Amino acid sequence: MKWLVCAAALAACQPSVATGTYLCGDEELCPEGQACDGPTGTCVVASTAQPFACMDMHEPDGMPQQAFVLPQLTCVSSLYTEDDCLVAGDAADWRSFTTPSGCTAVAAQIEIEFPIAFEPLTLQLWDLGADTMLAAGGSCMNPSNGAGVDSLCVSQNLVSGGSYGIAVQPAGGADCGGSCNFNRYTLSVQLVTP
Amino acid sequence: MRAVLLAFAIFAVLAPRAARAQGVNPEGGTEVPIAPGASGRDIVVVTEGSRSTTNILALSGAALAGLAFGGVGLYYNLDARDAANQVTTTGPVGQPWTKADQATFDRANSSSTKAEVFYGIGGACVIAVAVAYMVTAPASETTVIHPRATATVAPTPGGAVVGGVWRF
Repeated sequence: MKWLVCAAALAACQPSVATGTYLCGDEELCPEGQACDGPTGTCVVASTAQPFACMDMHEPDGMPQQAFVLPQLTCVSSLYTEDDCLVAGDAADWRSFTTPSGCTAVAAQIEIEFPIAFEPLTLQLWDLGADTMLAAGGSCMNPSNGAGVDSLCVSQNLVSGGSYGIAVQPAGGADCGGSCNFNRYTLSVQLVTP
Repeated sequence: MRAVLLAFAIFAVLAPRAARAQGVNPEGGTEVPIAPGASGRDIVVVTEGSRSTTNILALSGAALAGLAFGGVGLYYNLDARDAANQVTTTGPVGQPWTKADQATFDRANSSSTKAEVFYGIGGACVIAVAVAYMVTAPASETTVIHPRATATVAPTPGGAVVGGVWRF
């Protein structure tokens, strides 16, 4: 029936995308006539789109010395998760944690998830005692992210009683020419026995 | 047979009398009209004109062109419909808008526009053919015949011959 309507109507068939039905794509990509809504990350009618906004927690935390200290984790810890964001111009969010002493072996599993609509992020794990980077986030073995979301993971063996830092930074580029150089993310940290 | 003989006898008796009544010498042997020419019903002959081969070819070509343009329009119409169906949404799809989606979206719009253009051209061709068909219709030729009938009588020895003359 629809075919008949389409064939009969000389105006042919033009696409119709309802507002709020698609998530924003890379660099706030949305259908014609729509724009990326900052708070929801969905494509909406351009006139109703709201700018990106977030409550950047723990500021100032742009330096390892300013890192927000995570709650003490056990050798095999429960999953610690936190939502945060990087506003435009924020160079980094740092967090620190210590591994408990007395663990026979301990490893950290760290993951961040962030929308693809805004500037991509990087994830790094640092040994704060030695001031060296131990690992950079890569693709996850079992990503938990859904559509429209990217994720980065670090899985690293650690030393008991060590002090470590987690840095979340803008990746640079893919930021809508500078107009979407921000992002929100969910950080997950868990200590496990390797 | 008896009826024929009776008719012949009546004719033989009446013919000389009729001739005398008209002032005609029945012995003269000249055929004379005995009644004024009467106009009969007109005969109308209508000859339909025929189209030239050039005319037929031109109209057929234009009609085929119209159908061809319409066919191309239908192709783009269906292409636009397929593309539009791929990206058209009424509820949340839970998927990000991608460059591939954008390409499909653009293709739907482009094909839709092309469909409208080709439909328009095809429709114009068909309308032009219809108008041309009527305008170039060859005129039919009509001939009217006015028959005139005249009764004549020619005396013959011992009688007369009655006849009729038709002029066209």
